[in-house]
Amino acid sequence: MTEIPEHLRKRAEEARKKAAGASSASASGGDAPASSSAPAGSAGADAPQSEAASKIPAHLLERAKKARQKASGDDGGDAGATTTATAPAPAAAATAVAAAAPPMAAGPGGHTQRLLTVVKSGSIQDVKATPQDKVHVWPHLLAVEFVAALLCTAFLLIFSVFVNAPLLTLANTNQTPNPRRPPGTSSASRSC
Amino acid sequence: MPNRPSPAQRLADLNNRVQSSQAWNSIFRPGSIFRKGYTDSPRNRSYVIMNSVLYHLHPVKVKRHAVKVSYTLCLGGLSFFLFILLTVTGIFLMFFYRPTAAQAWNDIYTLQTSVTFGLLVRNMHRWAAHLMVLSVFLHMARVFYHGAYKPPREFNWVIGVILLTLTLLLSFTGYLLPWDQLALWAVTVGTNMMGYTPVFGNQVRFALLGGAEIGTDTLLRWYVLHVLMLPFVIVIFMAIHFWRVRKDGGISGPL
Ligand code: HEM
Repeated sequence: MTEIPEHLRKRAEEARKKAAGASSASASGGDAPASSSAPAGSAGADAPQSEAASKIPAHLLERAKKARQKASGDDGGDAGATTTATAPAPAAAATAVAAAAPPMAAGPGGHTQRLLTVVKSGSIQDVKATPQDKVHVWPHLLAVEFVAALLCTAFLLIFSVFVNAPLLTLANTNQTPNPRRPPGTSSASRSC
Repeated sequence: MPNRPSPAQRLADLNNRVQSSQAWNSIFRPGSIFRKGYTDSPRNRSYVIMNSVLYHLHPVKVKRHAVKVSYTLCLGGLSFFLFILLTVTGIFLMFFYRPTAAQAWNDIYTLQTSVTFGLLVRNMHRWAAHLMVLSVFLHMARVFYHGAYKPPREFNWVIGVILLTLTLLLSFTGYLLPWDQLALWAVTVGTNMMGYTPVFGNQVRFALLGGAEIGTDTLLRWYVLHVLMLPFVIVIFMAIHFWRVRKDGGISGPL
């Protein structure tokens, strides 16, 4: 039932490729400064980045990578200089963003929203592939029901005209109807 | 003579007057197909179901085989219809019946001999009750032989068993109400059997009879069960039953 439109599928594929490329790059380049020279402050900022790399848009990853490269290039072997080196980083990142416009900004028709995910049909819903042969309840079922009800009523009415419900004599706890004699006087019990 | 309208004209006139009356227009709300005039189209066929609270028990469409009489034999539907008939005739009987040992039999006798259609309605109530037990049982057999109790319908089978039990209990409690020899002794036999239930048999019997033996208290007790409690409970379970039929994807397919 749910065919994914071709352009959406292509776009998702491209995005996935781009994300995969960027995350592998940040995994190799991003771990080094965090483990070797970065102070506690910047390590805290780095760690969640590499952890959630796959979910971060490609252009942000790019930006972070550039900033990190710049920082590690500046401080060289000097661990004490990193605190000053992190200060110009945001400025540099800002220029980088301004220079390279985010790749997601222009979709088909100038749309700015982003495709989050494509859910394949059948993964979360049970889609029936074959349409069922169905008929309208009215008139097909209701007519049958009506005729059945009519026949049933007619039968009951006619039967009730001719056959009466039983109404024996008033209830009498001193007389059992069957056998119609006092207990202990039947021939069956006497023969014992 | 030339001034008199023809019957066809009069009929059209009457039709016009009825359909533009306040009563008609307040019953058939704007947009109703009965107000606009029904023409056979898929959309109107759907509206018949969707715009009616009673027909809403049904989906708009059902599988083609589901409307074949030879599949369900209408037995479930007839069980329900007989229950409706029993309710209608039962309410009629209630107008003439008092559930005490001193009055019950006389009330039935008077109903039969001096109430218009009294005998007929009593007969109908009696025979419809028998017919309902029969049709519920046959409906169960139909479901069994179709294997329609299998998943996902196993829960509805359980509801069905409860419905069968309630139907039998309705039948049994009703049996006592005429307070004649047949009623008394049939129920004596039935409740004596209850007394042999292990452990708490006598307590069960005592509670159901409202005493050590059948008497006017039993009659009141069974009357309330018969006209109020059991119908109330069975209606609830029928509602669940019908709801389940639809939730399980309509009635089962042919084997
Ligand atoms: C007061 C009694 C009952 C009423 C009014 C009733 C009514 C219905 C109705 C209207 C249907 C739709 C299909 C059909 O008409 O056959 C149905 C289906 C069904 N009934 Fe009942 N029923 C009753 C008792 C029972 C009993 C005693 C059982 C079994 C123990 C049962 C089990 C089922 C099942 C499993 C279905 C689904 C059948 C299918 O999908 O083919 N019902 N019932």
